[in-house]
Amino acid sequence: MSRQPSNAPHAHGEEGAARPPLGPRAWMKDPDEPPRIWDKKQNVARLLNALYALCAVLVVLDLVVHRHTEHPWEHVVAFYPLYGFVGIVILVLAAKGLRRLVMRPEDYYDVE
Amino acid sequence: MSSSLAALPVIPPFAIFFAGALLAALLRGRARKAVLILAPFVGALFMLRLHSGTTWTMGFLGYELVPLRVDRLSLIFGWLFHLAALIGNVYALHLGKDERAGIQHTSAMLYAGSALGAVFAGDLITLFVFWELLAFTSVFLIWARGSERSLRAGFRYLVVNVLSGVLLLSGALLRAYRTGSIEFGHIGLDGSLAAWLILLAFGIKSGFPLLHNWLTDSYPEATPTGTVFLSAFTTKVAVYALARSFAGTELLLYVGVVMTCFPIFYAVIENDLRRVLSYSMINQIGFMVAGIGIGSALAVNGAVAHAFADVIFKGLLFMTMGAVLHMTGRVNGSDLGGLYKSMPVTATMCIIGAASISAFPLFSAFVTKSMIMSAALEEGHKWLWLPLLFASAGVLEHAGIKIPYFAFFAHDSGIRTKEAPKNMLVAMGVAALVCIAIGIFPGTFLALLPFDVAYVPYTVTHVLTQTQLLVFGILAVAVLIRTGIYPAETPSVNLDFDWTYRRLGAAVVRAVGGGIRTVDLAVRSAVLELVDTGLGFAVRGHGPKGALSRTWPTGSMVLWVAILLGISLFLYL
Repeated sequence: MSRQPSNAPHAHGEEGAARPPLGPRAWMKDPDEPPRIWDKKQNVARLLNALYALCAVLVVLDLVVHRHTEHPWEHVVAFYPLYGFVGIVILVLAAKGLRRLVMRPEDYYDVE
Repeated sequence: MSSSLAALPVIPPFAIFFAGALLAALLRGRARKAVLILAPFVGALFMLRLHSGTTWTMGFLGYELVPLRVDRLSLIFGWLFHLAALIGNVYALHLGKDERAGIQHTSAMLYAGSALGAVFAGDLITLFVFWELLAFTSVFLIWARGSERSLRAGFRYLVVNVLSGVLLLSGALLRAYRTGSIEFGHIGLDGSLAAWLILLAFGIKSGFPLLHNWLTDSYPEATPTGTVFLSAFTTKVAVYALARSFAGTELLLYVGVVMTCFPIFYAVIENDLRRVLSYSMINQIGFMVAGIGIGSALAVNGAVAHAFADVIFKGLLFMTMGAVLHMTGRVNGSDLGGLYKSMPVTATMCIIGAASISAFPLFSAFVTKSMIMSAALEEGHKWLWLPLLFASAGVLEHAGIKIPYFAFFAHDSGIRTKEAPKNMLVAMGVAALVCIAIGIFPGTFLALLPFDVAYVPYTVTHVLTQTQLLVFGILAVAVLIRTGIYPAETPSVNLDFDWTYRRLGAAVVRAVGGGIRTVDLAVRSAVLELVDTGLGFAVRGHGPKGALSRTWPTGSMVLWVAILLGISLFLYL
């Protein structure tokens, strides 16, 4: 019942933050378990390729379809794709910065 | 049908749930389960008897109490709470004795009843009573978790929520004194202290910025089933109250925009997935508060519609995370991953909830949130529309991708389990169906809203632009994860405003207490010294060996008397 070592993006705090015990209805996997759909790299690659293709289609559609606009910025070509992409990148980077400021050990409030 | 309905008496909806709570407390086993399932249906049957305009009034200390007031705004919330109670009860059916089933079921029924009492209240005093009951009945859903942490979080939850009620009562009494009326209707910020107190009371329960920590603090500490109820009622009653009393208050627009934006940064770095959903909840309520602040018919309709949709999709997401917690004992992003292998149905439900909250076309928020966004542009709030759009993309990141990705996919944690119990799956299935039904057949749903405004969610522009925003948002997350820039899930807590009272406040109290203690000790020891010196002095005089407290034997007195007599004799003679 020992935990599997794991890699990013699951960096486990090594300072011994106590993990809650595994519930009675759960167990650790059998080492001989056959790989499943998302264990295979080529499936993940296919999914990502589909995503890239969809993005391409949506940009092309932006050029073809006449969008009804109300906000002055909406006239910018590919405004929504840009806003979505840039917005999330800024959000994640800013949140990473916020972490430096506010992150504390898991038991911060439990110890007096 | 209508004639047989007319034979039913008019009963305030809360009464049915309170009766159900009593039965749930008294009965055990199957009988209790039957009550839990049937009560919302019985309530719904009596709801059919209520129409706009139905009111009950009674005199009380010279004021007119209105324990039942029905209009389109209260009706849609009434239906919503019946649906939420049914879904929640089904989700919690499996509870056993060791999960304190009796307390949890009774508490949940009383809680749902209190929410119904509040939305059908026609005066501020009745509202206050149910407002406080919301806090007292629901805290057991947090305490039932049985941990030290949940006990403390429950107390903090209770203190803040009861404070909100005290503010509401103070505001109501001041208002009654000033205007002579306790009607729960439009209040607006008229510059009076009463209005500010009432707004603050509503603001606490709807999670205004800096007043929001009771929510993110306590909801993740509740039981897996309790959080589903908590997420449905308190905040939505507050949104209802804001919509009724403060529609068109411009301040709310700015407050709402802040609420949509700041929690999403916390949601990105939070590890406890139910706390991620709690931050997400404030973000969603932000859209509703902004809509209420805009105040146009479309905007308020949008706020109400979004409150309805949010109860269902946020409930669905909380249910999927509750199922994960119930089955594995864990709910931190850093501990999970790969659960799609063990819990494929729950994973699918989670993705439906994620698509709904992210507002993908064909899912509920696509219809409801866009009403608020459109109204913002219609009313000329061009610059506030931009942060709202940013927050819409942010929802996709933390609730749309992070929740399903880290729980069910990502790196395989190696944890294996079974699919969630059947009752949980049924409850999730019902919620998922409602999410999709609102997304696909918006017409029927929009007709239930309080105002008659035409709104067409499905236009080519709207479908295209929303899909572009979301798909490129997904692309951004994919790129950030692939390049390793995306922050890892790490066991941690993130300091929020509650640090001020959980740590800073406690430290100040300790420091002030310590200071008082030091001064007190110094004063006491100085006084004691003074007393000691005085005592020493007294002891010298009056002590056992003191000159003033010596005792002499009677013989010596007789001697002295004899001597005195002798002297006086000598002097006279």
